[in-house]
Amino acid sequence: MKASWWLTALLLTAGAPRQENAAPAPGAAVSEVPGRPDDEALAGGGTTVFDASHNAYGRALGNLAPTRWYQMREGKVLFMRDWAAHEEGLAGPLTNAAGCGSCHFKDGRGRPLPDVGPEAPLLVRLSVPAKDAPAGHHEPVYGVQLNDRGTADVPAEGTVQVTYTDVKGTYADGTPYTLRQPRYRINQLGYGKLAPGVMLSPRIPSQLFGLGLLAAIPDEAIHALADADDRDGDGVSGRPNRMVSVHSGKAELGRFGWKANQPTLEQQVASAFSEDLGLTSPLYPESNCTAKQEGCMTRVAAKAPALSRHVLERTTLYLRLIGVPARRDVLEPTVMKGQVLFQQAGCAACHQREFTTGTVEDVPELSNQRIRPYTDLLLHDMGPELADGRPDGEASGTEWRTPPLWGLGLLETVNRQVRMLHDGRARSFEEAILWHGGEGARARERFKALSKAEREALVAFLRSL
Amino acid sequence: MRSSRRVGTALWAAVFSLALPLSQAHAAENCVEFQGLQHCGLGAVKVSGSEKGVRIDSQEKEPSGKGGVAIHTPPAAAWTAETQSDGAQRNFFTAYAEDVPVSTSTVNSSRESTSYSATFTGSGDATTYSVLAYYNGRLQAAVGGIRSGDTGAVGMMLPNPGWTPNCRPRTQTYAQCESACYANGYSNCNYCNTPCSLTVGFASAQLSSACLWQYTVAEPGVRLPNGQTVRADQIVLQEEISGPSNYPYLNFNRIDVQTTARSTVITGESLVPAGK
Repeated sequence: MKASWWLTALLLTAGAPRQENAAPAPGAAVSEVPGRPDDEALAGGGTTVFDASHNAYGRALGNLAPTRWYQMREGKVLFMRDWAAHEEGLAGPLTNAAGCGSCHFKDGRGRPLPDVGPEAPLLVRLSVPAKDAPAGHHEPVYGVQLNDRGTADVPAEGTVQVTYTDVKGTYADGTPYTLRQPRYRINQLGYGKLAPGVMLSPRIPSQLFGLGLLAAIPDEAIHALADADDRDGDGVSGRPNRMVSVHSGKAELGRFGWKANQPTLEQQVASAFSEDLGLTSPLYPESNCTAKQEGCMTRVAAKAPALSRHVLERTTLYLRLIGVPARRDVLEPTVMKGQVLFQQAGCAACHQREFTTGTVEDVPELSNQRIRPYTDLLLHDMGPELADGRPDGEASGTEWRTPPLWGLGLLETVNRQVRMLHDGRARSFEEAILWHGGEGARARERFKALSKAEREALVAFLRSL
Repeated sequence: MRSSRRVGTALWAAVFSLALPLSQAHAAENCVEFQGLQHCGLGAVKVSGSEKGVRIDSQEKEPSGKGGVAIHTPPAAAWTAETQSDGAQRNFFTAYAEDVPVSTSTVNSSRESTSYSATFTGSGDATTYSVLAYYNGRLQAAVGGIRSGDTGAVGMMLPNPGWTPNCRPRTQTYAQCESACYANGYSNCNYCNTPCSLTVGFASAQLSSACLWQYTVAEPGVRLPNGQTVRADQIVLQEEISGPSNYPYLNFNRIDVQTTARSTVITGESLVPAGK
């Protein structure tokens, strides 16, 4: 009977007037899933791909023009290339990986843990405080990122060691849970001590599907969700990050990266080529060696950018052409109940359900798509619990971009590991929720107050994404 | 179509290296190296090697088809192998890319016929494939839209004097071969002196990421899913790639060969590495 009640609710709401991008006030009772159109499974609109297998994160857009298939394949060749093995030795000498696919396994997050060790590999962003720059400066010897791979004649910069301390807690119903608080240590420093006051920010790889769609969301739609001064008094603010675009030289809305510190996908790709793989390009023509790393500087001295504009464009295009996997189990009663609870708990205040993309002239497949990424792409203060203490652009040391939730239910299937939050400390959806602090604290407490069955329903909804 | 047959000589443009070092990935026991490739036992088999090839002996009373070898390759664009074994049997081939199975093929040999089928995953459950039948290098017929998993071709002995086989089917003894030869009215029965080997190939096409399986056919006649029967000595089962939702496989790095035959010898093998 209960199942039919939910189905009835669906039918009743399918034709109801919809308010795009509107979430009920957190804590408000929601008797039915708001605004459920019939195409709820189409997380990527017309670009959605229907695959829940290990290939779910790497398929071409569901509406890809057939003539564009070869461009996608060409881009993947570049994405999967081992740049360190190339005959000309283009990569490095200081790197974090040999190629994009090394970290973004199956276009997702890290490789399966049995392949890499007990924990997801991390890279560490570096900076030092500076009075003249709120975001700080690069670490003077090691640069903006710790490169843990070197060559025979250019030592690696160091290694990251993570240890965990259990943090125990209980839900309102008395069920215990355990989180793990990470501590990071940089060992085997190859070029002397780190500067005093150095700020470290560990990061795991992000999944790569749907980036073309996120790039196609109009700026004004993101700005419309910002509420930096929390004028509506819901405890959630949200503000955009802004970074200088290498193209325009102007500050633009950031939307990519854990702190939304990259304004465009091409710039994100170019920075990753530069900082992770040591590959220069027209956007990032300077090598990632610092003046104090003489051996490194000698190796890369006076060379034209390793990557051409064409390579950057093709790699970026590849990422734009990866489709979003469809939601699963949309009409399962537990999942539907979980979606209501997701709204009630206030999760949707940041994990915005829906956007409509704008017009994308060079890839019309991405145009005017109603997408459901469950992110507002804005920065939110997540409290000391999740702080890295490292500003980035206009983001403070406690702010993070709301990560998209679409597709995360397939993490275990695709990557054979589940590590969430910026540093992978969370081993499950529950742990990720329980780490929410700052603006997310109220939602966390509402989650903790739910019964076991309700918590499981909410998680079932997240797994369906 | 012709281009898909030149898999033995094609050079590909990409290099891809994600596979763990072979020495790290495979235990030494029950592995032999042949033609530069590691062949490691699967299931209850004994694997032994010599200059002539890799011998797979089932240790089961009734081989289940799970026994065989996993052949580990560097990132590859094409692979071919020649296998010799006797008797009715089923052979199962699985190709792996990015560490997971991406395509399979089944060859089911009985006294009267051999059926060939394949599965592909480029388009998920909706993937379809084409079968192309060749004789002396020339395309005789092609059928498309075959659902992944369905039979693509059946090799048959037909009573046609002009369609004399080239070799004795593996499922026939010499005496059975002679008997079938006379019954079918073949012009001569010398082919019974030469046992057929199963030549199988797998490739990932560069431009389209389409996977394909290629077989030499022992029987002179091949019946296709549309009912047509043609003379053929080679068939290709090729994935159909349309673009939307497809998965862009670039190469493969492992082929599993499993069989219900009691003994199989892989006598010839070649590999085309994925290009740089």
